Amino acid sequence: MTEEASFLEVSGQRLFAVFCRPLGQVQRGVVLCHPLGEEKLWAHRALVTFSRELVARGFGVIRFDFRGEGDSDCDFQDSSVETRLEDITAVVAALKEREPSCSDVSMVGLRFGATMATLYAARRNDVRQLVLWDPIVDGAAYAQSLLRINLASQLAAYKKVVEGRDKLMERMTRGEAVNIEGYALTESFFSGISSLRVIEALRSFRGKTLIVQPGNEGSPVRPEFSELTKGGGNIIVSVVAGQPFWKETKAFLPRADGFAVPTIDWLESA
Amino acid sequence: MNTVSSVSFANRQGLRLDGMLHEPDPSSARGVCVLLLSPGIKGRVGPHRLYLKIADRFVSMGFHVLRFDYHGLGDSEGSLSENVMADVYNSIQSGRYVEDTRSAMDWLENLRGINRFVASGLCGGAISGLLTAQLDDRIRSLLALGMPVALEGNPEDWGRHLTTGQLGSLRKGYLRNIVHFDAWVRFLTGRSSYTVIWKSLTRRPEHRDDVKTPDAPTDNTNPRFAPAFLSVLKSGRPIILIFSGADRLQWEFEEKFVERHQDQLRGLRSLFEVHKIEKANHVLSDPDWIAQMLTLSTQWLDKNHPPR
Repeated sequence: MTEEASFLEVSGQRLFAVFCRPLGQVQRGVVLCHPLGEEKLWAHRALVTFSRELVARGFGVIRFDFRGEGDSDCDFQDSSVETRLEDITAVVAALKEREPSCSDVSMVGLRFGATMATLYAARRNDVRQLVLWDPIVDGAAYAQSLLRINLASQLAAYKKVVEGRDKLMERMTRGEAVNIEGYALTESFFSGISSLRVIEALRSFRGKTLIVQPGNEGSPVRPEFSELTKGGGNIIVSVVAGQPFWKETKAFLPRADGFAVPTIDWLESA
Repeated sequence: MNTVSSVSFANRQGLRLDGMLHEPDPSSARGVCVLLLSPGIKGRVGPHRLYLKIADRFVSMGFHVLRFDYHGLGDSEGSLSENVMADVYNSIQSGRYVEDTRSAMDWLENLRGINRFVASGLCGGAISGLLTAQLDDRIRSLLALGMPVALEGNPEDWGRHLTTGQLGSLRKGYLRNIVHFDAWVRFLTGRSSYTVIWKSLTRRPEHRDDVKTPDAPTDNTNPRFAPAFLSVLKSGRPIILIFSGADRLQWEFEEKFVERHQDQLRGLRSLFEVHKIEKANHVLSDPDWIAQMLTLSTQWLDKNHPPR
């Protein structure tokens, strides 16, 4: 296996990416899209381990940091849904250039990374398979949950909420950023996230989709994921016994246990 | 012009460690590298990319800055056998990554001829820097953010090792909550920490601070901390500690180290500074807190590692 870190150029800025491939022939190319903010940091090692497991099964993998996160250029407050789509476009192009046999790719996204992967796939015709790990399906609800993180931080620091939700929205409208665990969220990114609905994007996607839902064996499929399967398209949901490795947990989770094996099996067979 | 490059090097077990090297414009270079040591799980960028913000400031001052992922974490090779996060943290606090840090210094010394380092980092990164400094005098000083003195316990027994200062703060909180309905609901439905409430009201920590043998802590104090800290100071190398007002670590430093080693610290006081950023959380997630930390850090760096 080889792993090569490099910077890609996107709109005059640098995007950090790691290409991982087996020594022999690449079966198919896979793009990994990470979640937002601190979820990315908690999940990072599990995604690295997963990329190595994919390579061991003959896939070529590119994992990268969206601009505004990780080691890529740009402050978080300058990133948006549009910059993330540009990033994915550049990453897919880079993967195809390195692996000319990969005329189409598979994408695996986690949480908001899954949402972004879906949005990209819906607009393009070079994505064959989409794997969505616990995807954010309702952008508006997710955007509100980000504001709740700010409110919780205020409670922790000041023992009360100093600025409520309405005040935070007012600040963003005035052009100020709102602090979400150290990430400066602007009105542009907030409204971009709020407008996203995965069900609409999936209607435009012609490839095959696997949604992976963490839970316990035998858990029912969550209603929002069931709804996605009713919109037409080749979409299945798999409920797996897996812990949320993108959060702070008591357990040390360096692998995407529960997610990795069903995903790789599906990628190989679908 | 300052540059940032993706780098990799081998540790002493032959595992590849990946990182980023920030290099200053040669005209402003001070010939000293700040090792921004990973806090652990959150890797070489740190929580909310804190380490990029710090690196940008330090490289603009003329310092080289190296941040990298330890083996088994981030992008680096290797694997860790632990199943519990607290065990990972404790292994870091016990010196797991000292050799990786020394490998980083070896690599940069070979690459750029730099053999003077400032060890720096948040939490686990700070303690890794301290323990490495004890063994390697290429580390000329330590810039420690939120450095822990105590080992991680299980979350279930968090109340066992509270310091007097922590109990005092908890007492104030509990007394404020007397007028809150939700607090009474928690109390009456078995969801409160009754032992801790009792301790805070009676101010009796489980382990008293007047232990007879401070060199052999009987509580959760990291037994490696005091010898390392005192060794670095006795060799004449300065230390700055910056703590966050909202976490417990400064109390632990004062009560589990300073108070227990007052005799040994006499004569060494001029070599270390302790600062607190009021209301700041452990990861300094507010821009104002970061600004305060950077002001303290840059002033200290200028004093201890002035431009050539």
